[in-house]
Amino acid sequence: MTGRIFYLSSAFLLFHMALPHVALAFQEHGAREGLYVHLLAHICFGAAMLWLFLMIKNSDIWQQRHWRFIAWGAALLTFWNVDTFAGHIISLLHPERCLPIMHTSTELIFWVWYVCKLDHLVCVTAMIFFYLGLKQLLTYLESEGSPDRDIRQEK
Amino acid sequence: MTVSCTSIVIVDVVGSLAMMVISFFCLRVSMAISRARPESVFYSYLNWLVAALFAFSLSRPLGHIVKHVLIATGNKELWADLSPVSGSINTAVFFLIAAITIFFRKMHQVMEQMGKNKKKIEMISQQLLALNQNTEILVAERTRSELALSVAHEIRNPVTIIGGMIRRIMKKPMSEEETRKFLKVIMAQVARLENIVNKFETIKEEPRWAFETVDLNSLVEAAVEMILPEAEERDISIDVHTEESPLPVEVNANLIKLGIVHCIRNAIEASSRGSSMQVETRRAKYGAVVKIIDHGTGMSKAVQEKVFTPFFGTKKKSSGLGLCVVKQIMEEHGGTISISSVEGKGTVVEIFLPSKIGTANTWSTDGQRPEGLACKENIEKK
Repeated sequence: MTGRIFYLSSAFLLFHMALPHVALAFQEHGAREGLYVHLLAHICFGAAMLWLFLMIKNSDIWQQRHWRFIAWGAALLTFWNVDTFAGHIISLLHPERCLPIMHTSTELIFWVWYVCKLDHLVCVTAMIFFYLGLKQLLTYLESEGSPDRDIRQEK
Repeated sequence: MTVSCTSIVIVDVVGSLAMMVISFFCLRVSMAISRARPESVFYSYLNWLVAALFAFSLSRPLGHIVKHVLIATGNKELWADLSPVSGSINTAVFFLIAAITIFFRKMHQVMEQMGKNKKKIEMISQQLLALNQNTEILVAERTRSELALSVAHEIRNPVTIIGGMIRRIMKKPMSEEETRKFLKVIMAQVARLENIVNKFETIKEEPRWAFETVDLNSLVEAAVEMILPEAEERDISIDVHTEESPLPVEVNANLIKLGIVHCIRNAIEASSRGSSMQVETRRAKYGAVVKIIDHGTGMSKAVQEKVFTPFFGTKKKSSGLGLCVVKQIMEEHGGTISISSVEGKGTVVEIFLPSKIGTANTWSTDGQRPEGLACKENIEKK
């Protein structure tokens, strides 16, 4: 019985090997999948920053100016993610717009795309907010003996 | 309406460069925060979050700049090969930032819990101190009572015998031989009383077994020698000016040396690299004074008020017990410690030790502070 199973299996494998076939193993990924993953990453990044903003906003540390700066930095990065996400979608739907040339248009979609492309105005501002927050936090830690013991009301 | 896409390119390139520069400074500040509070998990976490943002601010703008350069130099094909790599790195960094951010709440909760625990420990510590003080009072009270009882018990018999004998001698005239006999008995009882007094003197001496008379100058020199490698490591020079003649103080040498070392170490840590500090000794009424002067960061009034509080600390790796314990050591020797500081200019720590334990403490009791104690003026002069 065992011998029969062995011979049948061997015959099937030899037959299969003799045929031309597509090598199916791990799944191949195209450019679209990369883009979708990137868009998903934007959603995660944006959601995380929004969450960070809300966490700080609803916490005691919101009373401290440096944390407020960091929170607003996070909020701006949330906005930046929305901006770039929209830019990616428009570029996906209207690839012809992605040309660095003089352009005349009365279409709303063009102007949305144009504003989206100026995303560095948002993310640079966000990083400036982060920098100001961190710098003030450092000054606060250096000036205070034990920052954890009293949260200053700086409202 | 006509617009040029050149403005997009300019914002992209300038923005990319700005992102890289600002995020670099963010990381630098964040690392400084982490160094300032190495014991804090939360600030370490914040450092990781900023590091992830730095990775984002570096990878994305770098990709954009490379893209502009390659396209401008006619290497569009090369960019087509590099683009997926750059995009993948960006995507991974976005996920990384999201993953790190998720822990913010947990980390903040940990920090809050640690703050609460710290307050609880402080409260317990204060309760323990109060309990300790009460226990000391109780023990002293009990000792006094036992001593009074013991004295009454031990002395009553000889005193009664001596009194009786003298009364009998005074009552009626006696022969010389009889008087001598009575006097012998009285002498025996006096000897018994002397023994009792000697015994009490021994008891009085016993607790002072750990104290010895040492030269404070030598103690200070030994303390400076002990701490010198730490000062040299930070490129800080210590100028020692000791009183010319010996300054005998009755102390537990090891404890006092430790206390002085702790104060000098604090001064070193507060001083900036390459600066100098002074350690001085001088004679005072009924004792001697050690003065440790640094020209470091100094302390705010709020910090000065709390500096002797248990668990209060401004240092990176400290339980905050240091100066509290130093104060306790000095007070146990009948001495005092005082701190005077000007924020941004420096701090003066002065330790007074009596030459004999139990000697009236001139520093605190008669209000006569040894000369040269105008600490703030001293700092400002230097």
